[in-house]
Amino acid sequence: MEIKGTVRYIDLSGGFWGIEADNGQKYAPTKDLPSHLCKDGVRIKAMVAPAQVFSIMMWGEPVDVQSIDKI
Amino acid sequence: MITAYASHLLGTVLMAAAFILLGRGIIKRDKGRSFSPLPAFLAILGAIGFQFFIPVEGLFGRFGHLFLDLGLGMAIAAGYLAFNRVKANVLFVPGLLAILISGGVYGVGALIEWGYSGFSFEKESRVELLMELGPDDSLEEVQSLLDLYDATAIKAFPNVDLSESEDLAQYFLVTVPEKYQERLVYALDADDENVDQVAQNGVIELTNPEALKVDRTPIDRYIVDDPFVSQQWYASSLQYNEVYKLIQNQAPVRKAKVAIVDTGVDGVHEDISGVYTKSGGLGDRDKHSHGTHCAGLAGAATNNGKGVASLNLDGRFITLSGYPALDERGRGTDQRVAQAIIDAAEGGADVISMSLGGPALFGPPKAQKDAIEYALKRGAIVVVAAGNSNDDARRYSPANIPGVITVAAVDPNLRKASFSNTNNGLRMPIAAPGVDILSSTPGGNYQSFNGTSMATPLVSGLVGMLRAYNPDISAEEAYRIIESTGTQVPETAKIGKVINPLEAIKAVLE
Repeated sequence: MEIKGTVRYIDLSGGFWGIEADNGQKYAPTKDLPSHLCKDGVRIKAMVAPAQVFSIMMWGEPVDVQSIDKI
Repeated sequence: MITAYASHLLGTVLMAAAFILLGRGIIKRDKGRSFSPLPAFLAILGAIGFQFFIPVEGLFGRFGHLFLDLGLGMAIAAGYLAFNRVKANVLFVPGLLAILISGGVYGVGALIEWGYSGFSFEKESRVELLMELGPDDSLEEVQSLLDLYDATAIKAFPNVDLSESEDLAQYFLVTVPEKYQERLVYALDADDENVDQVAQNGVIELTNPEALKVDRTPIDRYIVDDPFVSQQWYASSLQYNEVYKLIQNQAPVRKAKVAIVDTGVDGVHEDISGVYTKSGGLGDRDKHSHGTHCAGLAGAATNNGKGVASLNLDGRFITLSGYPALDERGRGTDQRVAQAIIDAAEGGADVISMSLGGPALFGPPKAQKDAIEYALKRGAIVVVAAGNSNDDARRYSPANIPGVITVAAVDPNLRKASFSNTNNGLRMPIAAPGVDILSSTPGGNYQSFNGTSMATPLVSGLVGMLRAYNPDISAEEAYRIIESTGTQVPETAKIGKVINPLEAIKAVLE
């Protein structure tokens, strides 16, 4: 699934980086985003796939990020 | 609603009448008389125009309905022709065609709608309705209607039964996708036999009387010497100081073991080591910080001159242990979470505290559910986080697993935290502070975190205290105490009551 959105710092459970897609959906990447994208407000497009994981985040849809680029 | 029904019927009648007018002209022509088609066409145009005043949702619905009425009108007029022994194919065939087109339009619309909701990951917007059933009616009687519109219903006032109030006990909060709201209200309103009334659940802004009572306790009034206690707003709101005065001379029957199923716990942290029992392996260290933070909230050693304060006065009530369910990024699989629960249960946990979760739209994962059942059977009380998606916790696991106490979060004004999921649809909902919560982190540090993750161990610690005073207390009994002594807040209908440790401990001591 291709998404476009904005990288956000989510100040929950100690803090993590999430993606707020342009359609309003929230995505919690299961692995850390590349460091150059870890800035609040960075616009990205990414290919993601839903992931079945449990986490401390409990925020948004957990996804495996298959590719991600700054736009 | 009656107007809507009537307009649908009138639309069909007008269309049929217009085509019968055309049929009469055809009969005249067939018998060789003069015939002007203009009045019939004007009547048909008028009937088509009227269709656009009928309340129908969506473009596909609108055109599906139009073709259906056109088809019915033509079919009725064809019947009229046949009755008068005139060849009816001129109206019957297009009428049949219009009905088929109507079916196709409805079908395509339904497929697109289904595809949109079935394949899209975009969460649909849901709205809340307040429905009152008759005193003799039950939810089962309207369940098929609710199912039809993908709606769910829970008791609006779960603490009120029929003997207390025939009205309040019959109120239900109905959650329905926004796109179906109008149709569901329409259908429920028409069900006079079971439904007394139904309306959108209006938002009433209230001054928060509980929040007005929140008063930070000055540090010099605390009878404990933990240096950061004055920065723990929740210690003041939850009246920890009054709890300390109550329990300082009250010995527990035994220490309760609170298992932190999380990223592990820094068992050598200065504020934890004195109350920590090793679980062995990876659970005794924490490469993240989340587990250590939760452990401090559940039972940091208190009155030890270090760090933060919990209910665990002098470390006499609670012993903590860490069980690794999540990796250093704070994530774990179903199996790993289930294994940690099993390990905690087999390790003799009185309380299992789980500040973790994930979406589970189609019900909880079987392994996790089985593991929790196993823990419950071994006498553990399982306390879990509601989740941080500002959504319904019924869609998340382990929050939605039967038998667990599910914890939502409130802010310093005791209002629902903006991120907190609601838990009112679950069997054992409760709330606790979850915003700007100071606690221990690895390496002898202290940090403030936000989340239902933080609210959960505050409840786990309290439940541990109840177990320390009454080792035989069951999960249901413990919940009954924390719920009945809890503080009613404006959003209690959504998140349950906020724990009141002082009154809960008084209750178990009685």
